[in-house]
Amino acid sequence: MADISRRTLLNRALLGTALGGGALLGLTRRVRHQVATPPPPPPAELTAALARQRQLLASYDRVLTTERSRPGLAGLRADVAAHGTALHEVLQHYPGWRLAVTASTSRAAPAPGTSGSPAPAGSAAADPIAALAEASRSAATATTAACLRWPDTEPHAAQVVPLLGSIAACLTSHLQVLR
Amino acid sequence: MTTPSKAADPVVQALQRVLAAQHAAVYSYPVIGVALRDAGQVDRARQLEDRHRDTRDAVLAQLAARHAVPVPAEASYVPPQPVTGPADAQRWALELEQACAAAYRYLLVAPVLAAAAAPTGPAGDGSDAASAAAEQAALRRQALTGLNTAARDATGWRTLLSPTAPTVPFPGL
Repeated sequence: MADISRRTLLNRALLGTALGGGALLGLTRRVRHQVATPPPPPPAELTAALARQRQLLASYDRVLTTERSRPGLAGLRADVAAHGTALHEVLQHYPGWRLAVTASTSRAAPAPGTSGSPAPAGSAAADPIAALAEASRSAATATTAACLRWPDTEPHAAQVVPLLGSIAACLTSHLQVLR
Repeated sequence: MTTPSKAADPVVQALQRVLAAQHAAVYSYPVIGVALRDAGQVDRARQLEDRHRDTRDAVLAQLAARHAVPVPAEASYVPPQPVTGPADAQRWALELEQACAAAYRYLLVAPVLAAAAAPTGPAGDGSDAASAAAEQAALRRQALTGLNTAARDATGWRTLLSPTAPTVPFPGL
């Protein structure tokens, strides 16, 4: 029988204890997988503003097919399209929005300058200009309310508050042309 | 006397800009009215002069309440181009309203900038926080109302100057 020194015996005992302890920890401790949590969605006020803009743009597109010669109407449509572009740019600041847009490529979110789903058929009514005026008034009211509610301390408030304010003022000024 | 901290307050700066725009309008609309030919437009210029005067007085009071020295009116205001006819007068009026819209747009941002610059310490009295929030909300309402009104009045003058493009997408920008 080979002689084993006390030092060797102690080293082996320590190694065995360490291995046993490691194995025990590995078997008993819960493994925590790091799962990336998705970023929070962008504020609903902003996505709602974009949805209103798309609906209004769709209404303009429909009315312009029959009222192309009416002065100023194309300019108003261009204003609404510009609102969409600006809202889209602000939404890019929110990682949740970028993720949602990337994930929904199959649904193909329309570009900001183009109209989305067509407006409800009934909204054209007998007087399409009056219907446009009503849609603009309602959008201006909702955008004003969103602007008033936006918290001062929100990280992008310095961009969002004046943008919503300007959009609301623009839509209000449209009412003078849509009389 | 305006203390340096008051002068640097974004809200005071924004109110001073609004006041400066109102001073210019109060001075200029009587001159514009003389150059206009259409009776309806002359009436409109008079109404706007009155309204800008009321707004100027209200903003003066607001600045006084904040212990800030209000910016004085200039000795005279120069139109963007010599006024030789109604169109030049309308262009001047349009410029005045656009300046008001820009000032109100800045007033929309000012409380946000003030909130960002405010030192973050232990929250004070709850009633203090509530009154500060109410004041911020009132300022935003005032700025939105001013921006809407200026945009509407600018559209009125722009309609006379360029009927095919009477609006702008972002008033005040």
